[in-house]
Amino acid sequence: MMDKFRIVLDGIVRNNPTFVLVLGMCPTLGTTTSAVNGMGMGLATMAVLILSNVVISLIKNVIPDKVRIPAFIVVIASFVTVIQMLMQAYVPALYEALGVFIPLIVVNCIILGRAEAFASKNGPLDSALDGVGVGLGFTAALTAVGIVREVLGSGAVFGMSLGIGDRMPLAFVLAPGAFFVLGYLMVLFNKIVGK
Amino acid sequence: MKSTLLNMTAVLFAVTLVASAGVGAVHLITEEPIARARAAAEVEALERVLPPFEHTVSQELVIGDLPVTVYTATDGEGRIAGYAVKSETRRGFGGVIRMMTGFGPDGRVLNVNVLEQTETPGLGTAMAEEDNVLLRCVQGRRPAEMQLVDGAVAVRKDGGDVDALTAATISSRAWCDALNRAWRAYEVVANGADAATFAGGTDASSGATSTSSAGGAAETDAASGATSQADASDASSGATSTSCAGGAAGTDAASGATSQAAASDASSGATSTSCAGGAAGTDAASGATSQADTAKHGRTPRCERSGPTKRRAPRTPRQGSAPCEEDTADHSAANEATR
Repeated sequence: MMDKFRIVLDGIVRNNPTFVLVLGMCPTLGTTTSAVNGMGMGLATMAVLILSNVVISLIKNVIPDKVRIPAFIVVIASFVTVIQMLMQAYVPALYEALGVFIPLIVVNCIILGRAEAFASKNGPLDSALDGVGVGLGFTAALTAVGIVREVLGSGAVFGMSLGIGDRMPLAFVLAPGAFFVLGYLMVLFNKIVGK
Repeated sequence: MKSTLLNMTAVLFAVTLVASAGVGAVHLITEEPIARARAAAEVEALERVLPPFEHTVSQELVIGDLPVTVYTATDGEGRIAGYAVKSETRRGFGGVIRMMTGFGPDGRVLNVNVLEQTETPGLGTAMAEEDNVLLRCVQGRRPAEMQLVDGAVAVRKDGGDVDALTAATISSRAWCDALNRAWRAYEVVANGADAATFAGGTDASSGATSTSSAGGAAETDAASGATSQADASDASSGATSTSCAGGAAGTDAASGATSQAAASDASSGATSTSCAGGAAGTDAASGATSQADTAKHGRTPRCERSGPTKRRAPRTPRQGSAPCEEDTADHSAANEATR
Protein backbone atom coordinates (compact mmCIF):
# COMPACT_ATOMS: atom_id res chain seq x y z
CA MET A 1 0.00 0.00 0.00
CA MET A 2 2.76 2.36 0.98
CA ASP A 3 4.62 1.88 -2.26
CA LYS A 4 1.44 2.71 -4.21
CA PHE A 5 1.23 5.97 -2.31
CA ARG A 6 4.92 6.49 -3.00
CA ILE A 7 4.28 6.39 -6.74
CA VAL A 8 1.83 9.24 -6.43
CA LEU A 9 4.06 11.23 -4.14
CA ASP A 10 7.04 10.79 -6.43
CA GLY A 11 5.09 12.27 -9.28
CA ILE A 12 4.38 15.38 -7.24
CA VAL A 13 7.77 15.90 -5.62
CA ARG A 14 10.73 13.86 -6.82
CA ASN A 15 9.59 13.62 -10.43
CA ASN A 16 7.73 16.92 -10.65
CA PRO A 17 7.43 17.37 -14.39
CA THR A 18 7.78 21.15 -14.35
CA PHE A 19 10.39 21.86 -11.70
CA VAL A 20 12.44 18.66 -11.80
CA LEU A 21 11.96 16.93 -15.13
CA VAL A 22 11.49 20.27 -16.92
CA LEU A 23 9.00 18.80 -19.35
CA GLY A 24 5.93 20.43 -20.86
CA MET A 25 7.37 23.94 -20.81
CA CYS A 26 5.22 25.21 -23.68
CA PRO A 27 1.85 24.99 -21.92
CA THR A 28 3.49 26.04 -18.68
CA LEU A 29 4.59 29.33 -20.17
CA GLY A 30 1.59 29.80 -22.41
CA THR A 31 -1.41 29.06 -20.22
CA THR A 32 -0.38 30.40 -16.84
CA THR A 33 -1.54 33.97 -17.43
CA SER A 34 -4.08 33.33 -14.70
CA ALA A 35 -4.46 30.77 -11.94
CA VAL A 36 -7.71 29.36 -13.32
CA ASN A 37 -6.23 28.82 -16.77
CA GLY A 38 -3.17 27.14 -15.32
CA MET A 39 -5.24 24.86 -13.15
CA GLY A 40 -7.61 23.99 -15.99
CA MET A 41 -4.72 23.13 -18.27
CA GLY A 42 -3.12 20.98 -15.59
CA LEU A 43 -6.32 19.08 -14.96
CA ALA A 44 -6.92 18.46 -18.67
CA THR A 45 -3.37 17.15 -19.03
CA MET A 46 -3.80 14.97 -15.94
CA ALA A 47 -6.93 13.41 -17.40
CA VAL A 48 -5.15 12.56 -20.64
CA LEU A 49 -2.13 11.30 -18.72
CA ILE A 50 -4.10 8.88 -16.57
CA LEU A 51 -6.15 7.52 -19.45
CA SER A 52 -3.23 7.10 -21.82
CA ASN A 53 -1.03 5.54 -19.14
CA VAL A 54 -3.68 2.93 -18.36
CA VAL A 55 -4.38 2.03 -21.98
CA ILE A 56 -0.73 1.92 -22.96
CA SER A 57 0.05 -0.24 -19.98
CA LEU A 58 -2.71 -2.63 -21.07
CA ILE A 59 -1.60 -2.95 -24.69
CA LYS A 60 2.15 -2.80 -24.16
CA ASN A 61 2.60 -6.50 -24.75
CA VAL A 62 0.64 -6.51 -27.96
CA ILE A 63 2.48 -3.70 -29.70
CA PRO A 64 5.52 -4.70 -31.76
CA ASP A 65 8.57 -2.80 -30.65
CA LYS A 66 9.17 -0.95 -33.89
CA VAL A 67 5.73 0.64 -33.99
CA ARG A 68 5.65 1.54 -30.33
CA ILE A 69 5.84 5.30 -30.77
CA PRO A 70 3.22 5.63 -33.53
CA ALA A 71 0.83 3.42 -31.60
CA PHE A 72 1.30 5.42 -28.40
CA ILE A 73 0.78 8.68 -30.24
CA VAL A 74 -2.47 7.46 -31.79
CA VAL A 75 -3.71 6.52 -28.33
CA ILE A 76 -2.68 9.85 -26.83
CA ALA A 77 -4.13 11.88 -29.69
CA SER A 78 -7.45 10.06 -29.41
CA PHE A 79 -7.72 10.80 -25.72
CA VAL A 80 -6.83 14.45 -26.26
CA THR A 81 -9.54 14.72 -28.91
CA VAL A 82 -12.04 13.14 -26.54
CA ILE A 83 -11.07 15.51 -23.71
CA GLN A 84 -11.27 18.45 -26.11
CA MET A 85 -14.80 17.55 -27.18
CA LEU A 86 -15.90 17.04 -23.60
CA MET A 87 -14.47 20.40 -22.60
CA GLN A 88 -16.11 22.14 -25.52
CA ALA A 89 -19.44 20.63 -24.55
CA TYR A 90 -19.38 21.03 -20.78
CA VAL A 91 -16.90 23.78 -19.87
CA PRO A 92 -16.98 26.09 -22.89
CA ALA A 93 -15.51 29.07 -21.03
CA LEU A 94 -12.34 27.18 -20.10
CA TYR A 95 -12.23 25.72 -23.61
CA GLU A 96 -12.23 29.22 -25.09
CA ALA A 97 -9.63 30.41 -22.60
CA LEU A 98 -7.18 27.59 -23.31
CA GLY A 99 -7.79 27.65 -27.05
CA VAL A 100 -5.07 26.04 -29.11
CA PHE A 101 -3.21 24.67 -26.07
CA ILE A 102 -5.74 21.86 -25.66
CA PRO A 103 -4.87 20.01 -28.87
CA LEU A 104 -1.22 20.77 -28.09
CA ILE A 105 -1.47 18.38 -25.14
CA VAL A 106 -0.80 15.66 -27.71
CA VAL A 107 2.78 16.83 -28.13
CA ASN A 108 3.27 17.55 -24.46
CA CYS A 109 6.46 15.68 -23.64
CA ILE A 110 5.13 14.65 -20.26
CA ILE A 111 2.55 12.33 -21.75
CA LEU A 112 4.82 10.46 -24.13
CA GLY A 113 7.64 10.67 -21.60
CA ARG A 114 5.70 8.89 -18.87
CA ALA A 115 4.32 6.41 -21.41
CA GLU A 116 7.81 5.41 -22.39
CA ALA A 117 9.41 5.65 -18.95
CA PHE A 118 6.70 4.10 -16.83
CA ALA A 119 3.55 2.82 -18.48
CA SER A 120 5.35 0.60 -20.99
CA LYS A 121 7.12 -1.15 -18.12
CA ASN A 122 4.49 -1.38 -15.39
CA GLY A 123 1.04 -2.68 -14.74
CA PRO A 124 -2.15 -0.70 -15.29
CA LEU A 125 -2.83 0.20 -11.67
CA ASP A 126 0.70 1.50 -11.08
CA SER A 127 0.55 3.37 -14.36
CA ALA A 128 -2.71 4.98 -13.36
CA LEU A 129 -1.24 6.06 -10.04
CA ASP A 130 1.81 7.44 -11.82
CA GLY A 131 -0.55 9.41 -14.03
CA VAL A 132 -2.30 10.78 -10.96
CA GLY A 133 0.97 11.73 -9.29
CA VAL A 134 2.64 13.36 -12.26
CA GLY A 135 -0.64 14.99 -13.21
CA LEU A 136 -1.06 16.45 -9.75
CA GLY A 137 2.52 17.65 -9.80
CA PHE A 138 1.95 19.34 -13.13
CA THR A 139 -1.34 20.88 -12.01
CA ALA A 140 0.19 22.15 -8.79
CA ALA A 141 3.15 23.64 -10.66
CA LEU A 142 0.95 25.34 -13.25
CA THR A 143 -1.40 26.67 -10.60
CA ALA A 144 1.53 28.05 -8.61
CA VAL A 145 3.03 29.79 -11.63
CA GLY A 146 -0.43 31.02 -12.58
CA ILE A 147 -1.13 32.47 -9.15
CA VAL A 148 2.18 34.34 -9.05
CA ARG A 149 1.75 35.71 -12.57
CA GLU A 150 -1.83 36.73 -11.97
CA VAL A 151 -1.11 38.49 -8.69
CA LEU A 152 1.97 40.26 -9.96
CA GLY A 153 0.63 41.01 -13.42
CA SER A 154 -3.11 41.64 -13.07
CA GLY A 155 -3.48 42.24 -9.37
CA ALA A 156 -6.01 39.46 -9.01
CA VAL A 157 -6.11 35.83 -7.93
CA PHE A 158 -8.48 33.25 -9.37
CA GLY A 159 -10.33 36.09 -11.00
CA MET A 160 -10.92 37.99 -7.78
CA SER A 161 -9.40 41.42 -7.97
CA LEU A 162 -7.12 42.46 -5.15
CA GLY A 163 -7.64 46.09 -5.98
CA ILE A 164 -4.07 46.71 -7.07
CA GLY A 165 -4.54 45.81 -10.71
CA ASP A 166 -3.67 49.16 -12.17
CA ARG A 167 -0.30 49.39 -10.54
CA MET A 168 1.09 45.98 -11.37
CA PRO A 169 3.73 45.54 -14.07
CA LEU A 170 2.14 44.07 -17.17
CA ALA A 171 5.29 42.11 -17.99
CA PHE A 172 4.23 39.28 -15.72
CA VAL A 173 1.24 38.48 -17.87
CA LEU A 174 3.41 38.50 -20.97
CA ALA A 175 6.16 36.13 -22.09
CA PRO A 176 9.12 37.62 -20.18
CA GLY A 177 7.27 37.39 -16.91
CA ALA A 178 6.49 33.75 -17.56
CA PHE A 179 10.15 32.89 -17.83
CA PHE A 180 11.08 34.89 -14.74
CA VAL A 181 8.38 33.39 -12.57
CA LEU A 182 9.08 29.86 -13.75
CA GLY A 183 12.80 30.23 -13.13
CA TYR A 184 12.42 31.60 -9.63
CA LEU A 185 9.80 29.03 -8.64
CA MET A 186 12.06 26.28 -9.95
CA VAL A 187 14.91 27.47 -7.76
CA LEU A 188 12.58 27.77 -4.78
CA PHE A 189 11.11 24.31 -5.31
CA ASN A 190 14.46 22.58 -5.62
CA LYS A 191 15.79 24.41 -2.60
CA ILE A 192 12.84 23.30 -0.46
CA VAL A 193 12.77 19.75 -1.75
CA GLY A 194 16.52 19.71 -1.33
CA LYS A 195 18.00 17.42 -3.91
CA MET B 1 5.11 -9.48 -30.30
CA LYS B 2 7.74 -9.65 -32.99
CA SER B 3 8.12 -6.70 -35.31
CA THR B 4 7.27 -8.43 -38.55
CA LEU B 5 5.68 -6.42 -41.30
CA LEU B 6 2.42 -8.29 -40.91
CA ASN B 7 2.33 -7.80 -37.17
CA MET B 8 3.16 -4.13 -37.38
CA THR B 9 0.56 -3.44 -40.04
CA ALA B 10 -2.11 -5.44 -38.29
CA VAL B 11 -1.51 -3.84 -34.91
CA LEU B 12 -1.37 -0.30 -36.25
CA PHE B 13 -4.55 -0.92 -38.19
CA ALA B 14 -6.29 -2.28 -35.13
CA VAL B 15 -5.12 0.56 -32.90
CA THR B 16 -6.22 3.27 -35.32
CA LEU B 17 -9.53 1.51 -35.92
CA VAL B 18 -10.38 1.33 -32.26
CA ALA B 19 -9.13 4.87 -31.64
CA SER B 20 -11.22 6.42 -34.41
CA ALA B 21 -14.27 4.41 -33.36
CA GLY B 22 -13.89 5.73 -29.85
CA VAL B 23 -13.44 9.32 -30.97
CA GLY B 24 -16.42 8.99 -33.30
CA ALA B 25 -18.58 7.69 -30.47
CA VAL B 26 -17.65 10.55 -28.17
CA HIS B 27 -18.32 12.99 -30.99
CA LEU B 28 -21.85 11.65 -31.35
CA ILE B 29 -22.41 12.01 -27.65
CA THR B 30 -21.07 15.53 -27.39
CA GLU B 31 -22.44 16.93 -30.64
CA GLU B 32 -25.64 18.13 -29.08
CA PRO B 33 -24.17 19.68 -25.93
CA ILE B 34 -21.62 21.50 -28.07
CA ALA B 35 -24.33 22.93 -30.31
CA ARG B 36 -26.29 23.95 -27.25
CA ALA B 37 -23.27 25.63 -25.70
CA ARG B 38 -22.70 27.60 -28.92
CA ALA B 39 -26.31 28.70 -29.09
CA ALA B 40 -26.24 29.70 -25.43
CA ALA B 41 -23.09 31.72 -26.04
CA GLU B 42 -24.77 33.51 -28.94
CA VAL B 43 -27.87 34.33 -26.90
CA GLU B 44 -25.67 35.54 -24.08
CA ALA B 45 -23.80 37.77 -26.50
CA LEU B 46 -27.11 39.27 -27.61
CA GLU B 47 -28.38 39.71 -24.10
CA ARG B 48 -25.33 41.67 -23.12
CA VAL B 49 -26.01 44.41 -25.64
CA LEU B 50 -29.79 44.52 -25.83
CA PRO B 51 -32.63 45.35 -23.47
CA PRO B 52 -34.90 42.45 -22.58
CA PHE B 53 -36.36 40.81 -25.66
CA GLU B 54 -38.32 37.76 -26.69
CA HIS B 55 -37.47 36.93 -30.28
CA THR B 56 -34.79 37.80 -32.75
CA VAL B 57 -34.70 37.69 -36.49
CA SER B 58 -31.27 37.64 -38.01
CA GLN B 59 -30.12 38.99 -41.34
CA GLU B 60 -26.78 38.49 -43.00
CA LEU B 61 -25.36 41.44 -44.87
CA VAL B 62 -22.10 42.30 -46.52
CA ILE B 63 -20.80 45.73 -45.65
CA GLY B 64 -17.59 46.77 -47.34
CA ASP B 65 -16.68 43.19 -48.22
CA LEU B 66 -17.00 41.84 -44.71
CA PRO B 67 -19.99 39.94 -43.34
CA VAL B 68 -22.24 41.57 -40.81
CA THR B 69 -25.18 39.96 -39.06
CA VAL B 70 -28.07 42.03 -37.78
CA TYR B 71 -30.39 40.61 -35.15
CA THR B 72 -33.66 42.48 -34.89
CA ALA B 73 -34.97 41.87 -31.42
CA THR B 74 -38.63 42.19 -30.58
CA ASP B 75 -40.31 42.02 -27.25
CA GLY B 76 -43.34 39.97 -26.34
CA GLU B 77 -45.72 42.32 -28.10
CA GLY B 78 -43.85 42.51 -31.36
CA ARG B 79 -42.38 45.92 -30.73
CA ILE B 80 -38.80 46.34 -31.70
CA ALA B 81 -36.63 46.22 -28.60
CA GLY B 82 -33.39 46.92 -30.39
CA TYR B 83 -30.89 45.75 -32.92
CA ALA B 84 -27.82 43.71 -32.17
CA VAL B 85 -25.22 43.79 -34.89
CA LYS B 86 -22.29 41.44 -35.09
CA SER B 87 -19.54 43.00 -37.15
CA GLU B 88 -15.86 42.41 -37.69
CA THR B 89 -12.82 44.24 -38.90
CA ARG B 90 -9.51 43.04 -40.24
CA ARG B 91 -7.67 46.16 -39.19
CA GLY B 92 -6.86 45.13 -35.67
CA PHE B 93 -3.24 45.34 -34.69
CA GLY B 94 -3.25 41.63 -34.04
CA GLY B 95 -5.78 40.58 -36.64
CA VAL B 96 -9.51 40.14 -36.66
CA ILE B 97 -11.70 41.89 -34.13
CA ARG B 98 -15.32 40.80 -33.82
CA MET B 99 -17.84 42.79 -31.86
CA MET B 100 -21.51 42.85 -31.07
CA THR B 101 -23.09 46.29 -30.96
CA GLY B 102 -26.51 46.95 -29.52
CA PHE B 103 -28.60 49.76 -30.98
CA GLY B 104 -31.82 50.97 -29.43
CA PRO B 105 -34.87 51.53 -31.61
CA ASP B 106 -33.91 55.21 -31.75
CA GLY B 107 -30.43 54.50 -33.00
CA ARG B 108 -28.56 55.03 -29.77
CA VAL B 109 -25.67 52.75 -29.04
CA LEU B 110 -26.67 50.70 -26.02
CA ASN B 111 -23.56 48.66 -25.56
CA VAL B 112 -20.59 47.28 -27.44
CA ASN B 113 -19.24 43.89 -26.58
CA VAL B 114 -16.01 42.72 -28.14
CA LEU B 115 -16.40 39.04 -28.91
CA GLU B 116 -12.98 38.17 -30.31
CA GLN B 117 -9.73 40.01 -30.45
CA THR B 118 -6.04 39.24 -30.34
CA GLU B 119 -4.66 42.66 -29.54
CA THR B 120 -1.68 43.46 -27.37
CA PRO B 121 -2.39 42.36 -23.81
CA GLY B 122 -2.87 45.30 -21.47
CA LEU B 123 -3.07 47.81 -24.28
CA GLY B 124 -5.43 46.83 -27.07
CA THR B 125 -7.15 44.18 -24.99
CA ALA B 126 -8.59 46.98 -22.86
CA MET B 127 -11.31 47.25 -25.50
CA ALA B 128 -12.76 44.02 -24.18
CA GLU B 129 -13.01 45.30 -20.62
CA GLU B 130 -16.07 46.70 -18.94
CA ASP B 131 -16.44 50.43 -19.17
CA ASN B 132 -13.46 51.01 -21.41
CA VAL B 133 -12.84 54.48 -22.77
CA LEU B 134 -13.93 53.62 -26.32
CA LEU B 135 -17.29 52.41 -25.14
CA ARG B 136 -17.75 55.35 -22.84
CA CYS B 137 -17.43 57.68 -25.79
CA VAL B 138 -20.21 56.10 -27.82
CA GLN B 139 -22.56 54.61 -25.30
CA GLY B 140 -25.96 56.25 -25.20
CA ARG B 141 -25.25 58.37 -28.25
CA ARG B 142 -26.43 58.16 -31.80
CA PRO B 143 -23.46 57.71 -34.12
CA ALA B 144 -25.06 60.22 -36.48
CA GLU B 145 -24.78 62.89 -33.82
CA MET B 146 -21.15 62.28 -33.12
CA GLN B 147 -18.28 64.08 -34.72
CA LEU B 148 -17.98 62.17 -37.95
CA VAL B 149 -15.09 62.05 -40.35
CA ASP B 150 -16.38 61.25 -43.82
CA GLY B 151 -19.56 60.03 -42.27
CA ALA B 152 -17.79 57.61 -39.98
CA VAL B 153 -17.05 57.50 -36.32
CA ALA B 154 -13.35 58.10 -35.71
CA VAL B 155 -10.78 58.57 -33.00
CA ARG B 156 -9.82 62.04 -31.84
CA LYS B 157 -6.50 61.88 -33.62
CA ASP B 158 -8.34 61.53 -36.90
CA GLY B 159 -10.81 64.30 -36.22
CA GLY B 160 -13.53 62.34 -34.50
CA ASP B 161 -14.48 62.35 -30.88
CA VAL B 162 -13.75 58.86 -29.72
CA ASP B 163 -10.92 58.72 -27.25
CA ALA B 164 -8.43 56.09 -28.25
CA LEU B 165 -7.02 53.53 -25.85
CA THR B 166 -3.70 54.42 -24.32
CA ALA B 167 -0.89 53.41 -26.67
CA ALA B 168 -3.33 51.45 -28.83
CA THR B 169 -4.34 53.79 -31.61
CA ILE B 170 -4.44 51.13 -34.29
CA SER B 171 -6.62 48.92 -32.13
CA SER B 172 -8.89 51.87 -31.44
CA ARG B 173 -9.19 52.70 -35.11
CA ALA B 174 -10.06 49.10 -35.86
CA TRP B 175 -12.70 49.23 -33.16
CA CYS B 176 -14.18 52.29 -34.83
CA ASP B 177 -14.12 50.52 -38.17
CA ALA B 178 -16.09 47.59 -36.80
CA LEU B 179 -18.49 50.01 -35.14
CA ASN B 180 -18.99 51.89 -38.40
CA ARG B 181 -19.81 48.69 -40.20
CA ALA B 182 -22.27 47.78 -37.48
CA TRP B 183 -23.83 51.24 -37.67
CA ARG B 184 -24.18 51.00 -41.43
CA ALA B 185 -25.77 47.58 -41.16
CA TYR B 186 -28.17 48.96 -38.57
CA GLU B 187 -29.06 51.77 -40.96
CA VAL B 188 -29.65 49.27 -43.74
CA VAL B 189 -32.00 47.16 -41.68
CA ALA B 190 -33.70 49.81 -39.62
CA ASN B 191 -33.89 52.65 -42.11
CA GLY B 192 -33.47 51.00 -45.47
CA ALA B 193 -30.09 52.46 -46.28
CA ASP B 194 -28.07 51.17 -49.17
CA ALA B 195 -25.56 48.58 -48.08
CA ALA B 196 -23.43 49.03 -51.13
CA THR B 197 -22.50 52.57 -50.34
CA PHE B 198 -20.40 51.88 -47.29
CA ALA B 199 -17.09 53.60 -47.65
CA GLY B 200 -14.77 52.22 -45.11
CA GLY B 201 -12.21 50.79 -47.42
CA THR B 202 -12.61 47.28 -48.60
CA ASP B 203 -10.20 44.66 -47.48
CA ALA B 204 -9.96 42.89 -50.77
CA SER B 205 -8.60 44.44 -53.88
CA SER B 206 -10.96 45.50 -56.54
CA GLY B 207 -9.04 46.25 -59.65
CA ALA B 208 -12.24 47.47 -61.14
CA THR B 209 -12.95 50.91 -62.32
CA SER B 210 -16.02 52.09 -60.60
CA THR B 211 -17.72 55.24 -61.47
CA SER B 212 -21.01 56.24 -60.13
CA SER B 213 -22.77 59.49 -60.26
CA ALA B 214 -25.91 60.23 -58.47
CA GLY B 215 -27.52 62.56 -60.88
CA GLY B 216 -30.35 64.15 -59.03
CA ALA B 217 -30.29 61.59 -56.34
CA ALA B 218 -33.57 62.73 -55.04
CA GLU B 219 -34.70 59.52 -53.53
CA THR B 220 -31.71 59.12 -51.35
CA ASP B 221 -33.48 57.90 -48.38
CA ALA B 222 -32.74 58.59 -44.78
CA ALA B 223 -29.40 57.06 -44.31
CA SER B 224 -28.00 56.74 -47.73
CA GLY B 225 -26.94 60.23 -48.52
CA ALA B 226 -23.70 58.58 -49.53
CA THR B 227 -24.96 58.39 -53.04
CA SER B 228 -21.71 57.48 -54.58
CA GLN B 229 -18.37 56.81 -53.33
CA ALA B 230 -14.92 55.87 -54.32
CA ASP B 231 -13.57 53.13 -52.24
CA ALA B 232 -9.90 52.55 -52.64
CA SER B 233 -9.18 49.10 -51.37
CA ASP B 234 -6.69 48.04 -48.80
CA ALA B 235 -4.83 45.94 -51.26
CA SER B 236 -5.41 47.73 -54.45
CA SER B 237 -4.29 47.19 -57.94
CA GLY B 238 -4.22 50.38 -59.86
CA ALA B 239 -7.92 50.89 -59.67
CA THR B 240 -9.22 54.20 -60.74
CA SER B 241 -12.35 55.30 -59.09
CA THR B 242 -14.15 58.53 -59.51
CA SER B 243 -17.27 59.66 -57.88
CA CYS B 244 -19.15 62.85 -57.81
CA ALA B 245 -22.14 63.33 -55.68
CA GLY B 246 -24.16 65.75 -57.70
CA GLY B 247 -26.30 67.87 -55.46
CA ALA B 248 -26.91 65.27 -52.89
CA ALA B 249 -28.89 67.69 -50.91
CA GLY B 250 -30.95 65.32 -48.94
CA THR B 251 -28.10 64.09 -46.84
CA ASP B 252 -29.25 63.84 -43.35
CA ALA B 253 -27.48 63.26 -40.09
CA ALA B 254 -26.29 59.79 -40.70
CA SER B 255 -24.97 60.31 -44.12
CA GLY B 256 -22.66 63.28 -43.98
CA ALA B 257 -20.45 61.16 -46.19
CA THR B 258 -21.84 62.33 -49.45
CA SER B 259 -18.85 61.01 -51.19
CA GLN B 260 -15.67 59.77 -49.90
CA ALA B 261 -12.55 58.07 -50.92
CA ALA B 262 -10.90 56.01 -48.31
CA ALA B 263 -7.20 55.93 -48.90
CA SER B 264 -5.80 52.47 -49.21
CA ASP B 265 -3.47 50.91 -46.77
CA ALA B 266 -1.32 49.24 -49.33
CA SER B 267 -1.66 50.93 -52.61
CA SER B 268 -0.25 50.59 -56.00
CA GLY B 269 -0.89 53.80 -57.77
CA ALA B 270 -4.59 53.88 -57.32
CA THR B 271 -5.99 57.21 -58.20
CA SER B 272 -9.03 58.31 -56.39
CA THR B 273 -10.84 61.51 -56.88
CA SER B 274 -13.81 62.67 -55.07
CA CYS B 275 -15.70 65.83 -55.50
CA ALA B 276 -18.23 66.57 -52.90
CA GLY B 277 -20.49 68.86 -54.80
CA GLY B 278 -21.11 71.60 -52.36
CA ALA B 279 -22.42 69.37 -49.71
CA ALA B 280 -20.73 68.42 -46.54
CA GLY B 281 -17.33 68.48 -48.09
CA THR B 282 -14.42 66.66 -46.70
CA ASP B 283 -12.65 67.78 -43.67
CA ALA B 284 -8.98 68.47 -43.84
CA ALA B 285 -8.60 65.96 -41.11
CA SER B 286 -10.18 63.38 -43.26
CA GLY B 287 -7.54 63.82 -45.88
CA ALA B 288 -5.70 61.17 -44.00
CA THR B 289 -8.44 59.17 -42.46
CA SER B 290 -8.30 56.29 -40.13
CA GLN B 291 -5.30 54.42 -41.40
CA ALA B 292 -2.76 57.18 -41.41
CA ASP B 293 -0.61 55.01 -43.58
CA THR B 294 -0.81 57.55 -46.31
CA ALA B 295 2.32 59.03 -44.86
CA LYS B 296 3.85 55.63 -44.43
CA HIS B 297 3.44 54.70 -48.05
CA GLY B 298 4.25 58.15 -49.23
CA ARG B 299 1.00 58.44 -51.03
CA THR B 300 -0.52 61.68 -51.90
CA PRO B 301 -3.36 62.69 -49.64
CA ARG B 302 -6.80 62.37 -51.06
CA CYS B 303 -8.80 65.13 -52.56
CA GLU B 304 -5.74 66.93 -53.72
CA ARG B 305 -7.23 67.34 -57.16
CA SER B 306 -8.86 70.57 -57.71
CA GLY B 307 -12.54 70.53 -57.67
CA PRO B 308 -15.36 71.81 -55.68
CA THR B 309 -14.05 70.12 -52.58
CA LYS B 310 -14.23 72.51 -49.75
CA ARG B 311 -11.58 72.13 -47.16
CA ARG B 312 -12.54 73.20 -43.76
CA ALA B 313 -10.12 73.88 -40.98
CA PRO B 314 -9.55 70.94 -38.75
CA ARG B 315 -11.97 71.00 -35.89
CA THR B 316 -10.42 72.31 -32.75
CA PRO B 317 -9.96 69.73 -30.08
CA ARG B 318 -12.60 69.82 -27.45
CA GLN B 319 -11.72 71.49 -24.23
CA GLY B 320 -12.39 69.64 -21.06
CA SER B 321 -10.50 66.98 -19.24
CA ALA B 322 -12.83 64.05 -19.03
CA PRO B 323 -13.44 62.13 -22.26
CA CYS B 324 -16.66 62.66 -24.08
CA GLU B 325 -18.51 64.43 -21.33
CA GLU B 326 -20.09 67.07 -23.48
CA ASP B 327 -23.77 66.47 -23.63
CA THR B 328 -25.35 65.60 -26.90
CA ALA B 329 -27.26 68.85 -27.08
CA ASP B 330 -24.09 70.83 -27.70
CA HIS B 331 -22.99 68.31 -30.18
CA SER B 332 -26.01 68.36 -32.43
CA ALA B 333 -25.90 72.10 -32.37
CA ALA B 334 -22.35 72.03 -33.65
CA ASN B 335 -23.36 69.62 -36.37
CA GLU B 336 -26.24 71.78 -37.50
CA ALA B 337 -23.93 74.72 -37.77
CA THR B 338 -21.41 73.06 -39.96
CA ARG B 339 -23.74 71.36 -42.32
